[in-house]
Amino acid sequence: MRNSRYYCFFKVKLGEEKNNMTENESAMLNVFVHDARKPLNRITMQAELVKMALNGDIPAQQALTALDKIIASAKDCSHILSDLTAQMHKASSDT
Amino acid sequence: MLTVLLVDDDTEFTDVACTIIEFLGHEVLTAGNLEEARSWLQKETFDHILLDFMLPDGSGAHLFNELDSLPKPPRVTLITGHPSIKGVIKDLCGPNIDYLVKPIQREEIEDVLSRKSKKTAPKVEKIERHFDLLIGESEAMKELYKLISRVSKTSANVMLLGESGVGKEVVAAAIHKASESEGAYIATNCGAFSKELIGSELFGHEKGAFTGAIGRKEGVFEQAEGGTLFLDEITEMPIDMQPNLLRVLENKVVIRVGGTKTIPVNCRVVSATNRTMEEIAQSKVLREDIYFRLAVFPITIPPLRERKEDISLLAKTFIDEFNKENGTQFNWEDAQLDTLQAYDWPGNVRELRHFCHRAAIMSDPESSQIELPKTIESPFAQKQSTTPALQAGRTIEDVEKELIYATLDKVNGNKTMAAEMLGISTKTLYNRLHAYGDISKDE
Repeated sequence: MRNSRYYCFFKVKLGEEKNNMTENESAMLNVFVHDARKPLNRITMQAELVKMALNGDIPAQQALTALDKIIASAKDCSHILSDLTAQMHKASSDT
Repeated sequence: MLTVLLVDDDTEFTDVACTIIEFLGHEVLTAGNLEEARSWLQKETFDHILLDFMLPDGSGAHLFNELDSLPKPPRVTLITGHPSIKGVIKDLCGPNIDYLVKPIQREEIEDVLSRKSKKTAPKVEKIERHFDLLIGESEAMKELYKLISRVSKTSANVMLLGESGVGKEVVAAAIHKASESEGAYIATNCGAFSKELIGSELFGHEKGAFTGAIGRKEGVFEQAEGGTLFLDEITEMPIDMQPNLLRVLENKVVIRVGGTKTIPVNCRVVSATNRTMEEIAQSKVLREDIYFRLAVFPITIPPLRERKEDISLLAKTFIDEFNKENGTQFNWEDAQLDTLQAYDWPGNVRELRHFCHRAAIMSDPESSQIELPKTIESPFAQKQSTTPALQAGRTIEDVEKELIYATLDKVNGNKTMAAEMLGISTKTLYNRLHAYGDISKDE
């Protein structure tokens, strides 16, 4: 679902208006950025937990869980970026 | 400690945010969408809502109207994943709604939760000051404005009649203002001078006119040249000084004490007294010829009890003045204004002003709430309670207890008479008093 959305966007972008981004395209790009911010936000918040654990504010065990979640979110973010790149290439080759 | 509602569909985020918010010492509940948020809002009262802008069942902005209609609307912080939405939110929500942009750090959450809601200045109701001085929209005041307006176009002398504290001096200043005369407005109190000095005060003196007259002095008539002279408490002027005043009023010239030269004077004389016309006539405190010279145009200023609708306007003005001078943000509640309106204010506007200032001084300067003293006391009137006898929210037992004690007070503690007045048996009255812990069983 997400991939098809990115694909549509890049197809429009590369096929019809190669030089100037329209308002619609800009809005869609904002949606992609929004999606990518979700795992980034999780990483930031989990990092805050790690800081709290290091300060002794919460049990150390919670820091370990938080670090695992940071790794998972970083991977999610990476996947989103890979999807974006792949869709961009696909849209480019279709035009 | 705050009670916070966190509305966001990302459960991993809400889990961590809850840990942080609880660590900061607040209580937090979560909702994953608007429907859940609405459900919480029906059950709980929240101090702060952290609200995601984009939720599965709509935008967080859809909650704004519902939040505004709550008895105690919570402070709102919108959470958005996109910085550009910040601008939109600012335009949409005004300065009283904060926002957080993801990714969010702990300090940012701490900051928005610790931020006190910006004190919004109490809405300052625009209260018109007629002639820049007088406040009141009652019929009695409108009539007064009409008279001021008419007389100010002429040079007629005016006598102001009215009880103490109604604002005679302010009306005199309003007449001067409305007349747009070029000269000064000079006010003097005829009751405040000794017999020996009143001549010098009114007409001035020449150097050496009497012991201590080390220089020439202009009297108030000269000072008010081309303007308005306000003679307050005119009926307190010694009767033997009144012929001198009459001469000035008739001839429009003064001779300074110890002088021989006549000095022409041209000013409107506005005099004032708190005696009624009948009293003036009967007590003979003012010579008849003087009265007719001064009271070419008599104006009676209504007492405050005859223009009760102006009480709230005046009370608001006095509190606004106090707020300005002291940097406070006090605001009247409607019920308090009703209480003020129910009182007769025998000391008139002056008493009301002092009462408002006293209440503001007694109130917590950090709060906008004014603490009314339990009674409005005046040596000129009976004590009047500021607590309404019947108020929604009081129990029947409370009201019954108050009635019983009020009745006992009235009959000087005579229980038989009190019971009779209350329409209950003496035994029932004793039982009630016993229940209140006021008498022992043996009594």
